[in-house]
Amino acid sequence: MPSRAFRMHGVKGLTLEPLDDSILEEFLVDSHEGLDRLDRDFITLEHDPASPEALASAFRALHTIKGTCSFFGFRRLERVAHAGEALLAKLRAGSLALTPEITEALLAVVDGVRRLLAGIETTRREPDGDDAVLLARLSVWVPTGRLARGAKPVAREPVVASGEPATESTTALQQQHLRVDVRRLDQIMDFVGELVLARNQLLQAVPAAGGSPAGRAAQRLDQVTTQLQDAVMRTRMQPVSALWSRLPRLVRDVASACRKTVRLEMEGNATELDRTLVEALKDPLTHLIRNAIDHGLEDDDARKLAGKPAEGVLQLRAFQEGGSVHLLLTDDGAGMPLERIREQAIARGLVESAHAPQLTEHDWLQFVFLPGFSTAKRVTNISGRGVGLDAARAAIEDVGGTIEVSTTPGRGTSFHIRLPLTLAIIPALTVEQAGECHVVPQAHLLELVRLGEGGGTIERSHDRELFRLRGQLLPVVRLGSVFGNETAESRHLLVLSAEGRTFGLAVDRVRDTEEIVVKPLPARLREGGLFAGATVRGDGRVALILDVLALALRAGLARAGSGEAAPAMMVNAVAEPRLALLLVRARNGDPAAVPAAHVERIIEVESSAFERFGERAAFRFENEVLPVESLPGDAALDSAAALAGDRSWPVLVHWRDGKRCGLVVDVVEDIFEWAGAAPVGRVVINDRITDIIELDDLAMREVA
Amino acid sequence: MIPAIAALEAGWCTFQVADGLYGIDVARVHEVLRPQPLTRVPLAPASVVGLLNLRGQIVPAVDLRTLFGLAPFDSPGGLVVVRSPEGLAALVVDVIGDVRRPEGALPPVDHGDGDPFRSCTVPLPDRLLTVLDVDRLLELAFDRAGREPLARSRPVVRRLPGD
Repeated sequence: MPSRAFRMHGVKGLTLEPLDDSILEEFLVDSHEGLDRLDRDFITLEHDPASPEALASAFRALHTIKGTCSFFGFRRLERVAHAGEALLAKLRAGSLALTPEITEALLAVVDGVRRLLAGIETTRREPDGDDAVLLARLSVWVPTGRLARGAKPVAREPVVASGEPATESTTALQQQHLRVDVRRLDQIMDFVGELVLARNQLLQAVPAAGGSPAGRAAQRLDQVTTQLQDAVMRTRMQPVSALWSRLPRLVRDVASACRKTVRLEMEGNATELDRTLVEALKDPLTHLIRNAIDHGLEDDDARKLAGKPAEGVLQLRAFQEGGSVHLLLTDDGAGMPLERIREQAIARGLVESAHAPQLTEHDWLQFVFLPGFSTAKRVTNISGRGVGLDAARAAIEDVGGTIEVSTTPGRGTSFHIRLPLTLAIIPALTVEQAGECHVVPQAHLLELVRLGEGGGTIERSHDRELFRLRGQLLPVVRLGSVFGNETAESRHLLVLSAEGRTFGLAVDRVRDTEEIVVKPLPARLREGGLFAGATVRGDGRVALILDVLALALRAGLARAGSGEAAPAMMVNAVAEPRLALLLVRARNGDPAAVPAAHVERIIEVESSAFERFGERAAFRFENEVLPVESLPGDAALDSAAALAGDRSWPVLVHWRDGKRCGLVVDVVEDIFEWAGAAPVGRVVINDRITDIIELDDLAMREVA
Repeated sequence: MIPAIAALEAGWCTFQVADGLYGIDVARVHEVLRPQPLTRVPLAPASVVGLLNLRGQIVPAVDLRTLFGLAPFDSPGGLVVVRSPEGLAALVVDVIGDVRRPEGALPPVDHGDGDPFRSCTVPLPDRLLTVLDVDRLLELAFDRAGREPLARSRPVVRRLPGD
């Protein structure tokens, strides 16, 4: 084997596998990239059958694979690639025109090559068998008979009907790129981390001022280390297009299997994310796309009936924002069947039917991520078996990401994947709690408030702690009580936001800000925790990165002061004996309380948005017309005039008899945790006599 | 049959916890460290005593005394870093011992008594060596009592004002 000749090029002691293997590895990676390019080229060709660029690019890709095959002695692969290449050569020369049959045949070649490569990848040798069927298919257009017998390798033959030095340009391009094993990059990254620590210690030992030779050298080392760290970090980033390159082919295949026409729109190709994330996203994204085409998008007839263009649109958008990478996958299909999700969840005992009315749309949608949960009426070989969304979410959460779904009936479904910039450097705030240091990503930090002397005070409402920030009441979480190491004094309050939730985090004190290298937590500690990762601080010790979203969930759910909010308790939050009451004020100023669980959402509606709707005032919300109601002390809202004025009104959106209604109040003041049996009638809350409002009873009054 | 048989060729990396001599198949040992500064992980299981920085890699440390239900030791002698399918983990032990080879030892005994940590006992000429089942041990160390099977799913969240 010629591999011996290459042995001298390897750096001994660093390689992780035998050298001949690494050449093979390189060939496989190269070939897979080439195949991805082929997929894209063929799809371009479907729309523009004569595109010379696409033809040339496809030709080159197959030619390169074929050329390398003979080097390894992969005869089958060589034959298949050659037949495909010959067909492409005819297309290039113009002696054949591209037809759908030829495209299918060429795609079959790509798949054949892929299968063989997969075989080589696992067994390190070419699988047995022959490709007679595939070659016979191609023989309609090009003579493959001689090749099918496998008489001799043809790699050195001059390229058929090609006058251009096609391969030269690719080699020139390849020379600017070097393929590096990711594990080696990881290793370099770790060494750089160590170097940073050594630098930090050196800088402390050598006084910066004074201009001693040692001081100057330390400063120079400081700069170079920072640059080196930055450069290595960049090396690990990949544009998201690395992940997307194979999607057009996937969409095409799935769409044609489902007999639907689908257009894929991609935006934000250049968005960069960490290489490990690119890998981790491959499967979940594939799954979401299959699902979207098979179940999300209606078939052409149904779309026409719904007044939509027959061609379904699948939109993929990537962007970086707030220290995260966001991926949005949106289809313009029928939306998720909320009714069926409800039925399924109740039928499977996931929710007691008594609790069902308390769940919001957002809550119901969470069930689609449970293992085995499917609302598909039919199971296809593409999707619908109820496996998948849970696996997709698990894969995304494994790399520290989150996935959210939202849906509008008739309009489509949207998945929002949020990923951390794992292994990227992020600016962070170091906080101290009971002598321990923790790190908060600055992306979540809205502002910093000093507590105690000359600063603000945390107030208490029953057992919930709150902080007044310019008229807004923030729920407060004390880091010490969450971690069980509370101290006498919290000196700082971080105002944090995560996915729209704003809350205050009280800590002993804030130390400093620094750029940190995010490292993944050990696998066994990832689940259900309050940490997004870890980092190594300047002194070489590990510090934990707080998961702001997890803390926010805790702020909204657990009583302030309880250190233990086990996942179990969170999942069963609907069954919790404590009752959250929304404290509101009626338009006449009377205090009232509404069980929060009955409220789906609180929205602000401009006065001008209220319209007259039959006997009563109403407003539009998410394509529905919602009738409005008012609290017992207020005049009935039989006209929009009662709500006139230049202001907006808080409206509590809730469900009654399967329909949404809106309760208009003057102000939503706070949320209050009521302990014990559900209150009825009038109770005293915060020293005020407060009416408990049963939303169901309001209906009678308003109609009467 | 007995997992320790595999180690017969190579031997066991030994260490002391309280008055017991324990061993781990050397093939599973990544390296042995002197005591390291550890960062506590709030809300972690009790036996997971902290995280250490192993040349840039974050490795969890398991305190064997806590795991075995013994009183903690104020000056542990070192850490044995072991490989596991889920990555490296460090075991905090009282005293690091030698690598012991099976020469002169009687055949290992598998008690089959359901001991959660012990894989078998090797009667060395001078004393008994308890060979630990690393995977089982780590599994127990990281196990949170009463973990809800649905823990993976998102909690149902109530909305707050201003949401």
